[in-house]
Amino acid sequence: MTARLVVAEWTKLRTVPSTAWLALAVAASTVLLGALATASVDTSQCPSATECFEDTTKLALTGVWLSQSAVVVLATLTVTSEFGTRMIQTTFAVMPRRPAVVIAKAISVSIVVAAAGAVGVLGSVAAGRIILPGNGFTIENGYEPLSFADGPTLRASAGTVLYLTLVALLSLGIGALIRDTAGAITVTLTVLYLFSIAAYLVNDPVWSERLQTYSPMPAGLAIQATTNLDRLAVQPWPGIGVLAAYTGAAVAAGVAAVKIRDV
Amino acid sequence: MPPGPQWLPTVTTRVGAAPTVLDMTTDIEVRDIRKRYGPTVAVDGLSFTIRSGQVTGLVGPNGAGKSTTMRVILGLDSADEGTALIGGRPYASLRNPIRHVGALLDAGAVHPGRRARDHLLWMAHASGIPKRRVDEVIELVGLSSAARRRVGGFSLGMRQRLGIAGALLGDPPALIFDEPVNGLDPEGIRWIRGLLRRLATEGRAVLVSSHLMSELEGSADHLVVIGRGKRIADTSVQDLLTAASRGRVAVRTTAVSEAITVLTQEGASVGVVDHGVLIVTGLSAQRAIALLAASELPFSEVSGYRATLEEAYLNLTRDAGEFSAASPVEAS
Amino acid sequence: MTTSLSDRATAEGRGRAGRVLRAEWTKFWSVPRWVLAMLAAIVLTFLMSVLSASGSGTDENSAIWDLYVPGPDGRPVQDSFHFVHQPASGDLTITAQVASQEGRTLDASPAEPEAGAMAGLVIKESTEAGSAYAAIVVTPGDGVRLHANFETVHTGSTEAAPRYLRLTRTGATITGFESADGTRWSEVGKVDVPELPDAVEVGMLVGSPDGVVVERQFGSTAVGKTSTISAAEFDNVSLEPGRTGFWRGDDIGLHGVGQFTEAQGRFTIVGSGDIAAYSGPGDDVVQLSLIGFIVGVVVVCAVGVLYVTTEYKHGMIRTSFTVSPQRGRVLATKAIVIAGVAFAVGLIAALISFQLGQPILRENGFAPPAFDTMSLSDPIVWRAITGSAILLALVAVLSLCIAVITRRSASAITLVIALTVLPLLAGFGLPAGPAGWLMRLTPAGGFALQRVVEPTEHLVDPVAMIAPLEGLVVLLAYAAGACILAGWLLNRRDA
Repeated sequence: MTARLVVAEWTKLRTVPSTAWLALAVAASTVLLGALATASVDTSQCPSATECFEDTTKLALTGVWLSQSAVVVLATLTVTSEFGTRMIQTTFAVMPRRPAVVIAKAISVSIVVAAAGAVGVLGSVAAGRIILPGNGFTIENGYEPLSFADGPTLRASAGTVLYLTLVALLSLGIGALIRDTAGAITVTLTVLYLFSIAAYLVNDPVWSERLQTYSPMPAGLAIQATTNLDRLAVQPWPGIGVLAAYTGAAVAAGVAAVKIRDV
Repeated sequence: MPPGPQWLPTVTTRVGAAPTVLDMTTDIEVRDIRKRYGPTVAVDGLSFTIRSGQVTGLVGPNGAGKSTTMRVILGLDSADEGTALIGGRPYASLRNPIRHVGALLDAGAVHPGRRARDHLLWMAHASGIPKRRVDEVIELVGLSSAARRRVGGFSLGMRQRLGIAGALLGDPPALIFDEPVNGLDPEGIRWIRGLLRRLATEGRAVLVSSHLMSELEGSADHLVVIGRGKRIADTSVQDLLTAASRGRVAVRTTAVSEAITVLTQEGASVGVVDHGVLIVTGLSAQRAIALLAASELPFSEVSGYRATLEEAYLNLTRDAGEFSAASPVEAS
Repeated sequence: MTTSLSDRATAEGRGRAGRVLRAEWTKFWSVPRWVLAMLAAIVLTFLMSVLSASGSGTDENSAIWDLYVPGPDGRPVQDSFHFVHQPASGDLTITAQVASQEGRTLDASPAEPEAGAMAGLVIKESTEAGSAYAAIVVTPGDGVRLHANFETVHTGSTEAAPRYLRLTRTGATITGFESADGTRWSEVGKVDVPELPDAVEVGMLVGSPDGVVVERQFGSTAVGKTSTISAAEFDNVSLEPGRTGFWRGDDIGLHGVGQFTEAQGRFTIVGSGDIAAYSGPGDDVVQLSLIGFIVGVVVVCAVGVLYVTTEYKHGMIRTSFTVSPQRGRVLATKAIVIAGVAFAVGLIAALISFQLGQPILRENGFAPPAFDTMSLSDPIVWRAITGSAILLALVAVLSLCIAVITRRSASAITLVIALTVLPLLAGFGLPAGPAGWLMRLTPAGGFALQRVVEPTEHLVDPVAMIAPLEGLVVLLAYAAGACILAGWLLNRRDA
């Protein structure tokens, strides 16, 4: 039964031109920004080439900072564009079990985002593999070339795809709550970026640590860490768990709002 | 603009396990619905039944509560009190509801970037309806040549047709149309009328809302008239017209003012409809003839007056109109 | 009185422009949501500023006296160098040639000297750190300077060693001279040092200020200081009216690296340390109290975008263009309205943020002597406040024009936020060079308008790396570019 709903939501998603463009933007921006970040860091800035202790995997995967905004747009639109065009009336007339509709949207958007994110991650790691040795991050200096055969790198990469998917679901939930495209996107982007910046700006160590541990974006991105784990404010899996908690709350609130309210 | 289809044979595609139209009579039943939006009471204790096999018009001035009622029936808005049942069951309990009730609420409620066919396709997917049915209804409403175009470029009339296609997609025994003739040209209006009649003939329950009586003339069998959220009348069209026409006589004469004087002296009230056509209330046709002949006033026609639906409706809703411009002074 | 046709046309044109302005202003304030959003921008901005100020602290003031000593007027100063000296009294003249100057590593091999490494002559009250003095020094990168009591009083030529230097004391006045050959002297300047007693210590000095080390480690950039060493050779040293004893070498201040050797009148002196008044860590206290504008920027962006996209969504744009067919004028007028509103919002938000934030910051340690007290009576504070308002106004205009280009609120808002907020975040994680370029190439640089302190690459904050003017230029360029493109598209496209 829900399978049919997922097929219907998937049809909606694939028959709208913005989906393809946004998916492309997700993949491309992940690779581009990741490559840029990787290219701008080299061992000459460190006390010595072997004392960089750089987390090259996390550096190569920096692109998500930008691509997550494309994910936010894509996921938010799957809900808010229906409210904007009032097609939501048709949707709920055709599929009156509203929570199931939201779940179906969640599933289809997750598939698109995960696919685009995976492409982006693959490209980022490949770019990193190429760029890093040229910047001094060579085997002699203690840096293995980036490879998925390395456990932590695999975890960081898969975790990044998971991160993007959770961001998508977070956007979906907020979209279902707020219903207005501009408002929902503004709120979601603010929640993600602003707390991250605040973590840097606030120099009180206690508050800085709290912000790093409990803000959705810094905590979620902990999944990308492959080295220096003892210096992290929050460990990788608990970190992504924090993001998952926010996501779960947003989706639950969104489902409740959609169920209770008039259309 | 693609022309409306000619009289196509009855749809033969069996849509999954949905009951065929003639097997089951599906009524739409509304009981004591009450709904308020903030301080405004949109629907106030409304009850009526839409029976299968006829076209029922839901009529009322703008703001009377027609759209709200339809949305409550479809489970889009929740009523504060009362129930709405389709074939005896609430909408939310229906599996694949568009196979039971097809609805066109808002033709503009489509994503402009999506192709027309894809818009129907997802609805078919969600309800287990085969793909070929999508192409069938597209042809039925005359959008075959535009099926692969994006809806953003559609005119209002084309969007109405697309909405109708969506309503027909599930081959449902009950249909709800909210102001379906909005924005259609005369050709389109004629086509809709024919469609509505044909759907009723097939045994379906058809609910059509409108705020213009003239649209429903010729297509509606039954009327539910509402004003300010309350039911004002629930009657067949025939009865309504008869009641509106009762006791009135139309007299065609060239001596208008003299005739008026003569007739009013007898205690009748006279209204002028057209040049030279008087509506006389309170006298039988024979009496009127006698009076006019006695005064040697020329007349060419005396007949029982047949009110238009519009007139009947205006009389009914005169007091219930929420939004009306100041009415011009009537001749008496 | 007759008005010519062109006069009337101009007046009519002005009248029409005025009407369009009124129309657009009405369109704005008649949407309660937008007005409320702008008010919310004010509130959210100062709330975030206050919150962030509460969460910022420093213990710089308590650490000062660990590193600095009291100067002649009691203020903290750094007074460290190697002093090769002997006692003298009364009026005197000391002359020497600084033959060469170079840097040294810890194991005494030559190195690049710091630009501010000092070699020269000094008359000092005593060998106690923080005591009064006057000195003339030559440096590798900053030329010849005459300074006294921890302030540079006169700058001489921009020459480096070899250089002849001379200090003459007459009563309380010290005069400094420099020369290329030892015969023709030019006066660098005079300074009065009344704190100097009759009996003083006079001699040669060598010092080298701390170098700044910017290092990337563990994925983030750290800025630290490291002590440096400098060595100089002095020749042709003469003291009038005559020497009274042997030269002694002493380290003034904290360092223990200094030493000197003499061979046939040539002194080779190695020293470390700086002679300077305390200058503070360089945090921009004004900017710190205005941080909330990051939120304000986002809200203003959203409203600026909606101001346009709602017209497209509901087709009202056609009405607008029917009423006023000159589309460029409509766009310009919208820009004026939104810029004006955003400017007002920014001004109010900045004033409240500053007034509420400064006391909080002072309480958290951002107070004298490490940080000057800033108040509304400082003109530069008004520059930062006005700069913040300009920041909001330009972001509003940028958002407006991007919205005209994309016609969709989702992409417009996301694009503006990606251009103005994301680079800030990225800049924190990147090394200084790329971070500075990020600020110069994206509208995020506009946040530099909030700063009062000179730009420096020695803070982690990327905004600190560029000057306010640079930030204004890049933000203006983006806004202007977007609006030119928007105007062109408006005239080309169907409504």
